[in-house]
Parts: sequence; C-alpha cells; structure tokens
Amino acid sequence: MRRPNDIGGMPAGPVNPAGHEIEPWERLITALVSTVGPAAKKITTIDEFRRAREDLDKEFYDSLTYFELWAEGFVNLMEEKGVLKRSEVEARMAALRSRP
Amino acid sequence: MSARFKPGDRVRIGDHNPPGHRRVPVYARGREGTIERICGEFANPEELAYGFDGLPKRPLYRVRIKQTDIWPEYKGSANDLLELEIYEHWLEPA
Amino acid sequence: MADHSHDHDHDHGHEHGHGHGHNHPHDPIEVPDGAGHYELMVHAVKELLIEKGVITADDIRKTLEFMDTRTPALGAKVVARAWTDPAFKKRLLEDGTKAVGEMGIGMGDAELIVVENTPEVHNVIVCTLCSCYPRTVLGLPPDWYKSRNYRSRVVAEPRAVLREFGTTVPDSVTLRVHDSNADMRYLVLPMRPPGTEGWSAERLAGIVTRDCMVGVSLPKADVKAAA
Repeated sequence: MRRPNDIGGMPAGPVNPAGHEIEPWERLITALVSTVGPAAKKITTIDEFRRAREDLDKEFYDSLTYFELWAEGFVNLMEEKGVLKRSEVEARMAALRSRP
Repeated sequence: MSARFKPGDRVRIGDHNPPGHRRVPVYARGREGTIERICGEFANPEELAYGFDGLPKRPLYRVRIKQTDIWPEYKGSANDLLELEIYEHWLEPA
Repeated sequence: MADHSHDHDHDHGHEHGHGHGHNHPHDPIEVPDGAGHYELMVHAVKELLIEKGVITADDIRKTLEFMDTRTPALGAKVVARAWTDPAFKKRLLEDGTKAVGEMGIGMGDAELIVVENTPEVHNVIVCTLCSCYPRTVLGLPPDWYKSRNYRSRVVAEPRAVLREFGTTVPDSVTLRVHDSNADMRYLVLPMRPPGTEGWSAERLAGIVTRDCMVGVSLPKADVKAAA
C-alpha cells in the first residue's frame, strides 16, 4: 500500500531548478506548524503532522501545492486534536474575505 | 543501548505492507543491504504519528543498498549506492 | 520514463488565481487584499489559534524571526571551516551535530550527518517521503527539493537528475544517494575547488552554494553563492 507521499522511484518529469519566492502566507503556515509543534508548544509532533498530510485523499493530495498541502493537513490535525473545527476555519475565511 | 546489528552486518528490510504512517519507502521494502552505522535510539515514528509516545526507543540504522539491487534498469555505476535510515523492528539478518 | 500528467512540478505560488502582482512585502500577520483561498485559510487558522489561546502573535513572530536567521550562509561557513581546519573537518565527519553545535547551530530533535565528496565518491541528498532538510543549517528547502519530480527520480536515476542541474558525475565516481527518511539530516561537504589556494574561510564561504551542500552542484572558484 503506497501512501500518496511515498513516491521514490515512480516515473516523473524533469526537475525544474527554478523556484518561486516564498509567499508571506507560506512562511506563516510554516511558522504556525513549527510554533504549535516541536519547536515551541509541542501540541503536535512532526510525525503527526506528516501523517495528517498523508491521510488526505490521494487525488486531492496530488492536486495541492506543497504549502496548500501543509494548510490542509494542519487544519485536519488541529481538528483532530480538538483545537478548532474546519467549519470555524471556513466561517473565519468568509469573514476575512468580506472584512473591509 | 543493545543494538541487534552492527556496522557491516547484512540485513534484509521487511517486506511488510501495513497501512498507516511508515517511514520505510516502498522501494526499499524487501531489499538487502549492509548496516552502514548505528544512528542511535529513537522513538517509533509509526506510533508518534498517532499520538502515542513511541516508546521504547529503538535503534535506528543507516542501511546501504546497491542501486542495482533496487532498480532493474539502473543506469549508472554498478558501485552506486542508496543509503537510508531503518528502525530495528523493520530489519532481519540477511 | 512514462508519461506523467504534469510536465512540470506545480509547486509554484502563481497558479492559484490570486496573482495580485504587487511587490511590497506583506507583514505575514496582516491579510492582504485579494488574498487567495489558501492565504485566507492560513490567516483564519492563525487568528483562531490566537483567539483560543493556543499560541500568541508574539510566539509566531519569534518563530518567523528565527526562521529569518536560517540561511545557506550558515552551512557555507561550516563548509569553509572544514576546508581550512582539518581537525574541525574530522570532528564534523565524525559527529555533525556536535561539530555544528560548536558554531552555535542547533539541530533540535534531529541529528546531522555530514557526507564528504571525494574524487571517488559523490553524495546527493533527498527526502523521498516528504521534505526533511537540514533547516537549521540551510534555511527553508528550495521548491525543486520538495518537488515530486526530484523526490521520485533522484533515488532511481541520480545522474540524469544531476545533469538537469548541469552537473555530470562520471561512472568512475561512486554516487551515493541519501534518503533522509527518519531522524537524520544531511549536509554534503563538497570538495574544495581548484583556484582557491590561499583563500580565507570567509572568501571560501562566498562560493559555497546551497545546491552544492545538497549535492546537485559543485562549487567553483568563480561562482559566488547567492547573498
């Protein structure tokens, strides 16, 4: 059984050595994961966070960029830990969208 | 630390296919290699991933495998190597 | 190589519709206008975590500030010191964690293994399962390191992948790929290039690029590392 992250040796295309400049929100999710996790509050382990990402449905997983995957995995893990609910996140997103 | 293996030992990585979070890539399962070093003792990530403490800590080894023992059509030197970290509970003597 | 539905790795920020195009740096704590779906999600999560008392805005700022201090320049200093101080190099290869600790670089819960390139051996690093990377030594990993294409192919066809970076490793040299799949993190100690005789450690550090510490490039006397 191959989880969606276990891709060593699978056929794939050329490597693009260029990258994009990391966006502020991408740095922010990196910081949130680190702060909630092993670097600071230790509410989660790095292992739980990896596992939460890998638990995503494969088709969905494959459609996400690296940091989108982090965001989705993190929300699921926080819900699992009883810290917040996805519905709260979605409600807050709607509020932020309409905030002047 | 009581490690079952020492550098130079021939080992076989388990060919198990359990569901859930594992840190043995599928490409490495069932492969034979050599212990390159003992890395120390660490908690089991397969348990940590589900909120358990992963104890007792167990030895983690670096296993050295010939690339030609992994990939049937490997292009490159016959001496090329792949080295990765495997926890003791995934290893048997070869 | 079989057909793959993506002809490039879509790990770039531009593809998701919000391309707002302006260049001013955002304070990551503020929600910008025209934020995309995931940008909103991350800000929503941040606000909720703060409101629920899980973390504070200050905690986040401290983490971001620490992240800012982690750049490839740290790794370059380690390499340059190894090139000019044989006793340090020996300690570095024996116990990477302890050696970089001498230079004030902590490894957290991970341990550092430094692998040395020689005329007979070339090393390259990957994390096929996710994106484990020596972040406290090199900063955040580049997109290509985290990409599906690199992670899938460098274990199986490392020389072909290295050629895509413009690096050729002859068959007479043994190529070691290290898959960083557990608690170890890796740094490649490249060979000191010709044309650098008599250089100070500081000058040497200036040519040690991130890519050569991951193993996809080789340092050159006339190629400066990014600032």
